[in-house]
Amino acid sequence: MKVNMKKLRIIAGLAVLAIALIGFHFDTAIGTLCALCPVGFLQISVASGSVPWALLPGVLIVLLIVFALGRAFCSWLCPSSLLKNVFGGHTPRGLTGRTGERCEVPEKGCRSVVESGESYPDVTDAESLAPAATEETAASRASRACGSCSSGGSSIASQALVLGVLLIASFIVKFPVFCLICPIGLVFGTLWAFNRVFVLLEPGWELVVFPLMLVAELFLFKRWCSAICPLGFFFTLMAKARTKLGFGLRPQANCSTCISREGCTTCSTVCGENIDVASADRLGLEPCTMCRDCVENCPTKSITVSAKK
Amino acid sequence: MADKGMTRRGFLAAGCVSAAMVGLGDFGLATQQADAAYLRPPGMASQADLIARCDRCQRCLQACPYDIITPLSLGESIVGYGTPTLDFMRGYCDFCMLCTEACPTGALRFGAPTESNIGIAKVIKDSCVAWDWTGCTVCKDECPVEGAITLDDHDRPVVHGDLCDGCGRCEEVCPSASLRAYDNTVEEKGIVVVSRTSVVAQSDGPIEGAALREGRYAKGGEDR
Repeated sequence: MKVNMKKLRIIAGLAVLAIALIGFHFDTAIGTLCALCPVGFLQISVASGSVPWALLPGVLIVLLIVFALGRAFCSWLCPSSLLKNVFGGHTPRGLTGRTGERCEVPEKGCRSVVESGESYPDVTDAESLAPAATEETAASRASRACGSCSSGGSSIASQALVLGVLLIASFIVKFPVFCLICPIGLVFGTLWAFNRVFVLLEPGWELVVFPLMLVAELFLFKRWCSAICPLGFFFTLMAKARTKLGFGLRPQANCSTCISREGCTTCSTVCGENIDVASADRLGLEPCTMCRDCVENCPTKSITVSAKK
Repeated sequence: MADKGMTRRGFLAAGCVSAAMVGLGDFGLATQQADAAYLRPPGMASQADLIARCDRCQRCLQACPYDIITPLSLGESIVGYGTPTLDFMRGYCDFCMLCTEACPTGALRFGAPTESNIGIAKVIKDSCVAWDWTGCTVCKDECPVEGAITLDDHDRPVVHGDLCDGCGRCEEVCPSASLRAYDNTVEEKGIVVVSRTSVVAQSDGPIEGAALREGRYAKGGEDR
């Protein structure tokens, strides 16, 4: 039973667009994802000077789902990921840096060297080693990972910067500024533009402008999702809360079958976020979008997505 | 240096996007597009208020049973892109208010001044066939509001602004485009609904097509 995760993700992404179109043609106000957007909620609050309370329940539900399932929205439902899945947006480098050099891999998790040679430690063992060791891992991660190899990790700062600027801008100019360049909105905008062509027979500039903007944002700005997307800011906050509380689903490698010690880097190579699942702790898994590519591609089928420690 | 704080590339990218947003915002302020007089679904408080509150989720467009709501196109307004506007090509508004019910942000809301009056119909002199020949009374016959369109001494339609609620039935049914298909200099229907805040809505009586093209969306009056 081979299930191709990428195909499944494309189907899920198309379903989101189909639901919006079904809403139009059957006159049910389902809305697009924009009606659930935490960024939209804040923008409208500052632009109009009044809080759109009716938006709040949907926004909270989205944040709760992200809290429970991680950034699954990003790879499964987000229309920009749909485009990346269809047109091949990212080139995962895994443990190879931009210049082709191999990054140093933190030796922890399933990658920790087993001196006894007899029994392989599982994740719980690795985490319960010494408190000093766990503390050291986070710091050594920072020092060892060379600049070009560093994973998305703490791009929350630049996402926060974008969010701050867009809120100030929205407040001054009195309209939600980010909605004009948001890739999610642009995908839906293109959808309506097509709808307009076929239903009203009025072609618009959107048909040309929006796809060009999408190409620029998603395929030239390769780090749009991890460094810019202000929606991602909220998702990263949720991911940090998950890390703090030690809660929620995440991919975990079973170290008794994982062959990362023998040099296997499959999981980090296929990962869109450059996460080395074999060695990652909860902190390292924060950018995970639950795309399940690592689960699918692991040569020894050692990775499962579960909530347990 | 990468893990604590921002990466340099992340900062650059964020800077670019921030600059783009500030640029867009300035453009919006400079052009005052937010006040342009578009025809909106019932429930709009004012043009600027709608643009501030609308999150472009398109629920009103989905809810409309007549499919006359369409997102404002980018070519018409950058600031107002994606906000709902009305197109009477295939239907007209009967103020069922499903759009206002569907709106989650209050951009369309009950109690707003446009709840029962979205605009006003203007007769376009050089398009309306009744100005050349008598006989066509389609708009008057179809108008759902008693007395909003009457015929003058020459059997030409006259719109009464105090009664007209801008529902768009007259514009939908106006046959001038097909009756004048031989003359491609005529661009409009013989009767067109415009926003009450537009320049053309400020004058009484019928107008020329050129005046419509010039002042249809330009702000000429206060939001009611």
